[in-house]
Amino acid sequence: MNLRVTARMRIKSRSITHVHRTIADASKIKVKIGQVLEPHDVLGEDTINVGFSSLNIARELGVASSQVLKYLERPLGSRIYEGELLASKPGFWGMGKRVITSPTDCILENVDLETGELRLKFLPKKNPLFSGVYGIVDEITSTGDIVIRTLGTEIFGLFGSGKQRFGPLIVPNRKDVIFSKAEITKDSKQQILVTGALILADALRQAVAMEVGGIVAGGINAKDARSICASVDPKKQVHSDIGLSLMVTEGYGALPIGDDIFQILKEHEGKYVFLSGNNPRLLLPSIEPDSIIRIRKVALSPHASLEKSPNTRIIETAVGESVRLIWPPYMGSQGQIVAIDEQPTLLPSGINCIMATVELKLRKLRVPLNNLEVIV
Amino acid sequence: MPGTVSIVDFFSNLDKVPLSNIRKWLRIKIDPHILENFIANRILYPSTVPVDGNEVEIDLAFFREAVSLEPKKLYDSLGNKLIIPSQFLDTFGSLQEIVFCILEVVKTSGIVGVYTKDERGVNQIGTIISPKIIIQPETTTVMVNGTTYQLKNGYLSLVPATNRHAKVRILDDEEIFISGGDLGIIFDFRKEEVKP
Repeated sequence: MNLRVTARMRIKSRSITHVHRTIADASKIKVKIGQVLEPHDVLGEDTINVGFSSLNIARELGVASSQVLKYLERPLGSRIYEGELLASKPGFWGMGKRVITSPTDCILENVDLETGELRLKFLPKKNPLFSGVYGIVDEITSTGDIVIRTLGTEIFGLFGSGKQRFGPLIVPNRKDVIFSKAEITKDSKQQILVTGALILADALRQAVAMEVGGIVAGGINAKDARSICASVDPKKQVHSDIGLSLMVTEGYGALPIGDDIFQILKEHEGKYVFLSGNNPRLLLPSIEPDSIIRIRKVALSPHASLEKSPNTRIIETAVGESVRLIWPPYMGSQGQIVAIDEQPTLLPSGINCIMATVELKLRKLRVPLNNLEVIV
Repeated sequence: MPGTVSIVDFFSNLDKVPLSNIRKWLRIKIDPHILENFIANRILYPSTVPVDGNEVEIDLAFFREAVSLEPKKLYDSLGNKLIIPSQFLDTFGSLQEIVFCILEVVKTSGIVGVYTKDERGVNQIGTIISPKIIIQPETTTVMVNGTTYQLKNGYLSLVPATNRHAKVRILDDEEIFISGGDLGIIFDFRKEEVKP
């Protein structure tokens, strides 16, 4: 009997791995190969080009899109700093005056007179770059890449977008929430937000505007994924960066983050993490000072491709294995195989399949073996 | 079973299939964004199989469009062969359904052998006959292995013929020998070019 099923590694717990930190100007790096690091150690001074944002002036002031230019307080191309007056509309007899202040330090780049949107280019900022982990510097390249050996738990997503970013992890109370635009505020700046079952396009746009560091979501609509990653097929997705890092853990549509991942995210709530979307990986570094003892004992090749997500493989399954359903109904649910049929069953679709009985939290389900994935 | 060839592995441009084209084949009503997510999940999890009839309908619509984007992956027009990976049976169930779907987007001509292919080799399972002229207005009389059939013009018709060498006569033409098999013989009496 053929009991082969797909197996996927989703979590690699407490292993020695590499984290890459980059300072564009290598001459500004202050650490040396072999140096032992603590999370607050400064690696050097980095200049960050944080990207773009947009602000709909027409909507905010309640004016026609084509008239937006005359309400700007500064000409296009000029610099403006956070809190300075950006645009205003006078009221009548002192009533109904509206003002917009700059949300950040930026350059007023251009205005779309059809939509009334003002595009803001963030000013490059000089920031000290912190290590963020307990670790040992294994390599420093001429291009400013600092390779640090560290101890951490890795979570692998299915696909994503964006370079590696670092920030505090914010986790909702429930894993099945649909994250809306309203939940992303100025306080979300540089945070790594876990958004539950689905991140919608307008929430993603808001996240970019608010300079959120990254998003971890159970699902995303295929249309949005296509516009960010160029394809819905992970093998064909191109490396991209929309101004934040995005990692999707379950698939397309509203799919709650799996119990296995959500539990670990909850345990690391508020701690600093590294999220890479292009190689969909979330690294949760160990915050125990004595982790350095274990890090010292393990050597890694500096070129070991530890940023790459592990591929799926085919394995022979058996009763007792932890699995995840990868097809409706209950797609994304996790449980344990409690029985496997010996004979194939003819499904209503007309396909003959070996069925497994999977015990979920609240029910038992019979599922075609093809429609589940072993969690390794 | 996982590890075998799914349509996602077989066709290279599945992510480029326009959603509007898939919808043209569907009788079921489904919200476009739910359909788009369904198709995307099929690409993400290629080993999965449809559970109910609605899912098969979507999968077959997707399959038709995949074939129409890359017909040469299945149809060798020079060699007059239609070669189907036998693993597609694990995904779609019915051989007849698979061949009919292909013929809805690929126009064959003359006599075309239908084969399945697996790791052991290629095995002929039937033949498609597409005569160029249909004389009778409503039906065409064909004889297969001595049995007479009245087949409706304007349609694809399947006549069972499991023997390796089936004798076929269309109207009063000369009798010809072609290969039957698990599929049988498909007579393509449609007049127009195929389109959804």
